[in-house]
Amino acid sequence: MKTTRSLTKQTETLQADCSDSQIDQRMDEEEWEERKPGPLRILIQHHELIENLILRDIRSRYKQSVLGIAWALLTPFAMMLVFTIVFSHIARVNTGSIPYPIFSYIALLPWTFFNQGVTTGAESLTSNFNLITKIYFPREVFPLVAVLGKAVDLGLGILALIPLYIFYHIHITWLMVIVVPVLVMQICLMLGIALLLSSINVFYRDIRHIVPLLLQVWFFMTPIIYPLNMVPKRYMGIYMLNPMASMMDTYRRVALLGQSPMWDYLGLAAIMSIIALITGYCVFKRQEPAFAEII
Amino acid sequence: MKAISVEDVSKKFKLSHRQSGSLVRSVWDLIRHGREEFWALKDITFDVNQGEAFGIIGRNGAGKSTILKLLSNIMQPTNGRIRSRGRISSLIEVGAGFHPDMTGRENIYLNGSILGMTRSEIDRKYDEIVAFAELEKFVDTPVKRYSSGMYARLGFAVAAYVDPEILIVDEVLSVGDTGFQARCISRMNDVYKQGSTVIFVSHNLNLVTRLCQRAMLLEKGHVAFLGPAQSAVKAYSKAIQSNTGQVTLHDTHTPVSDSEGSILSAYTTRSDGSACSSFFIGETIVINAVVKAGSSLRKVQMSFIVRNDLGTGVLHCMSQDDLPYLDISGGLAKISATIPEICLYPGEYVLDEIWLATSTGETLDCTGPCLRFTVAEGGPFIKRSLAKHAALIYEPTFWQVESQVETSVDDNTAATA
Repeated sequence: MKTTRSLTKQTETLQADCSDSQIDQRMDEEEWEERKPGPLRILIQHHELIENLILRDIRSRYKQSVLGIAWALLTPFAMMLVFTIVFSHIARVNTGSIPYPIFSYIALLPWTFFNQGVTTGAESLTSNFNLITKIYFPREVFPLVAVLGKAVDLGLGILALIPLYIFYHIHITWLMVIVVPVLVMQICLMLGIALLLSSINVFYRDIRHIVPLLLQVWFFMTPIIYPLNMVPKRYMGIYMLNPMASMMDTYRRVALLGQSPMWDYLGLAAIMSIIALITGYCVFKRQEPAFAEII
Repeated sequence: MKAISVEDVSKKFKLSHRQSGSLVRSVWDLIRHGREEFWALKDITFDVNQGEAFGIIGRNGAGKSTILKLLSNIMQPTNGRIRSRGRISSLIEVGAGFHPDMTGRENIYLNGSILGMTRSEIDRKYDEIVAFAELEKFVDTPVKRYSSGMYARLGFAVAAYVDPEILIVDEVLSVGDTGFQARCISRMNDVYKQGSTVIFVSHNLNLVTRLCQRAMLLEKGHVAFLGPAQSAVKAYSKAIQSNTGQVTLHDTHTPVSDSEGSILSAYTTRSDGSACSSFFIGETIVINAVVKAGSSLRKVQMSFIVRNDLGTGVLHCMSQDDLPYLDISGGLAKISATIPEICLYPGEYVLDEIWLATSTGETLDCTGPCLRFTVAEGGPFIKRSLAKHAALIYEPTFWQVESQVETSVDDNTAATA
């Protein structure tokens, strides 16, 4: 928003200049390069940089560890195991026709992605301070890389679903395609939150302590380890304001139960994700000029 | 055609007395102290033409680094505007963005794309980059196993091959050995000859006059001179030369916290302590610095550089060469360094980078070029006249002749050659 404003301001002065000066001077003026490109141009111009930074992220995460990339699978698997023991043997949770392990895994996978993406996204500016104070490229690259870097782990986790599907005889249906747009929604939401938190984190490191707490609460407010139908009807209105809730429910419906999603709630979640992305981006862009000075 | 246009640019920094970083504390600070403002740059206007080599000189704290950060888009100006044409690459710190766990090869690709190169461009220049850095054998080693010299060489090599339309260089040439430095300078010259614009910031006045056509002299955030590089260097030397005998750097009332120290003033004296700024070759020079130290500061070290009028460093003296540390116990102290017999050729010399640090090497204060002294021809020690710039150093030599030596001198030299 700020960028467009300064742009119009520049064109105004440009026009004012043109009216009372020669033509060759106008040519000169018009050739100046835009020093603050918009979001889409950044994605196009810097896509190789983004790829390389994602590679750096993945390589550094798994280098010098014996199990390497297998850790990407072990984390949600371990959680699945723990929750299965607790919720299907100690405190019984009724998951209907679906066995508890795959019931929880299908939600733990995107949640782990959300959790890690938001956590590293919030730290993405402060952990790259040496680049921010020394080299210029658009700063939104950092939260974007943090979020997309975790998507690689998610991809691996999805591959691990195949044996689980075979083992539990889950039917493959066309409805599963809906997972893709819902994932895009989830990435929008994560990116919005990462942009917002990372820019605030530059000024106030309190964010570092708030994020784990927030995610912990969010985890229990989302139908991950329990089904949505366990939530009392009278709370549903408030409960479904959480966009992650309807996304998790949708994943489960389309990928396990072969049911179509609850469109009204999913639509609401989509709107909220887009609002989050726009808000995050605007806050980020407003604070961006000060990053190199404060960090 | 202009490559960069800077119009009425000012940059304000807000200094908070404590480093903020927590919400509660920063609100508290704001109520109690307010924020102190500091103008690092004030109303700077200049243009750099396409294909020009442009120098920026000035003392430490004159605003050189700030203007570089503004030009390379790392920071935004408070007022005014900067416009540019073409890809800007800045060598403000080479090797930023290297990942220690990744190999040299991986880091070349990563750092190249950070600096704005495309993959195919890096593919094309890869061999040149590796050859320039002289790291052919080590490209598949993680850079964390590199020596600091190798690390810096790789960083510079990547940056040097970006082929920018505008190259911004800040004092990075101090990396590596002299051979590598020479290659860096010639590479910069190549970039310039290919028609790119080069902006060069340095303390090395010699290099500025050699590489640049025009230069800008900054003083306390203002443009003190803008014009031909040689005139700018002269103006700079003149500004420094006005400080003879004694220079005050900070007020005695400058507050220092417990663990801090600062250099208040510096002056030169004879061995008997009388103030003097002109010495004969072979005379004793005492360089004195008055420092103010916080109560918990005891062990410090100090160093300084003596440069000639071309900006070349001719002496670099360190207290740790003599004493493991200097004991200053709180309050004011005078630190003196005695050069028993000054061996420099006649000319004007400048004391630069007086560096005060803790015994572990953490910088407490570092000045810019601050104090001038003269080494004069003649005096009791030298009989002949020494031509200025014929050499840098005068060393007393002892000569003798052995008569009737049998072996031929020619054979000896042939053998050693």
